[in-house]
Amino acid sequence: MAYRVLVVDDSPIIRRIVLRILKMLPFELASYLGATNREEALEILTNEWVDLMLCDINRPKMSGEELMRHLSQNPAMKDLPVVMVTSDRSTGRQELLMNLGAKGFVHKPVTPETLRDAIGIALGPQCFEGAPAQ
Amino acid sequence: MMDSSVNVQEALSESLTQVLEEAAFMFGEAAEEPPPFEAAPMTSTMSFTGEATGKLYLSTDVDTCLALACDLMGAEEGSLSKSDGEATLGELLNIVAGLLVQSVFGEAALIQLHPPVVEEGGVPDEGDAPSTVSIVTDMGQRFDFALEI
Repeated sequence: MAYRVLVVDDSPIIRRIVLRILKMLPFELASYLGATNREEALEILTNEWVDLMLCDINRPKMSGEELMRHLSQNPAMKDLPVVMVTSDRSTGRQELLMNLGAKGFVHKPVTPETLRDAIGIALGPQCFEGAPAQ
Repeated sequence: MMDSSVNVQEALSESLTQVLEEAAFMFGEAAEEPPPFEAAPMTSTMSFTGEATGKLYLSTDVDTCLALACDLMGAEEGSLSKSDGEATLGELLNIVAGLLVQSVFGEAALIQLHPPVVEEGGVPDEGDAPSTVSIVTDMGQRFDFALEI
């Protein structure tokens, strides 16, 4: 299976780093979609199929917490696997976001190992079966 | 509230060297008398609020910003612009800030990190940012990192 991944981060550096790492993993990437804020993310989620969202917590126009609340209240989006990719290491915020439905956390700097582990938890280990690194 | 047992200078030094090593494979150590910046310095400033309030400053020179950007994005040398270097310095501070506030204020502290702002110039003088460390890498690149609370 090939996956459509949405990365929500206002930093173009992080979006490029995440794409670079996704291509290094034995993970079949069908589409890579980038959003810099809530409006862009919600527009994509409304109009396109997304299998996995990787989302920063501290963004200028909306916190990851607000976005997770929005998703959890929307029946069409509440089951989307979300991994938070963040520099925020607060255990309190992590717990709060897990309660809102986040499937995992990757602390910046993002490494192939930490991203692979978090994606494996969010999508299941089968997501790495049968797909060579690109 | 700050953990009174924390040595802020050590926390600044350890968090920055750890991130430089993990993110960019740059190996550095604290220097009491760092060399001057090799090119014009730039500073990323980030405020934080919540259970603690303050500002963080991270400075290095323009050339190092661009080298970091190439390294992090896997880009060819000379293919990136100054704005890529500025964005990279901002993102580097964002990453280090998460690690630093955890070590200074504790894992459970709820602290909001605000978006970094990058400007030309170095870290403010001592009076404004009392806790400052300079890190010099094995390649001679200098980074100044400061906490104001």
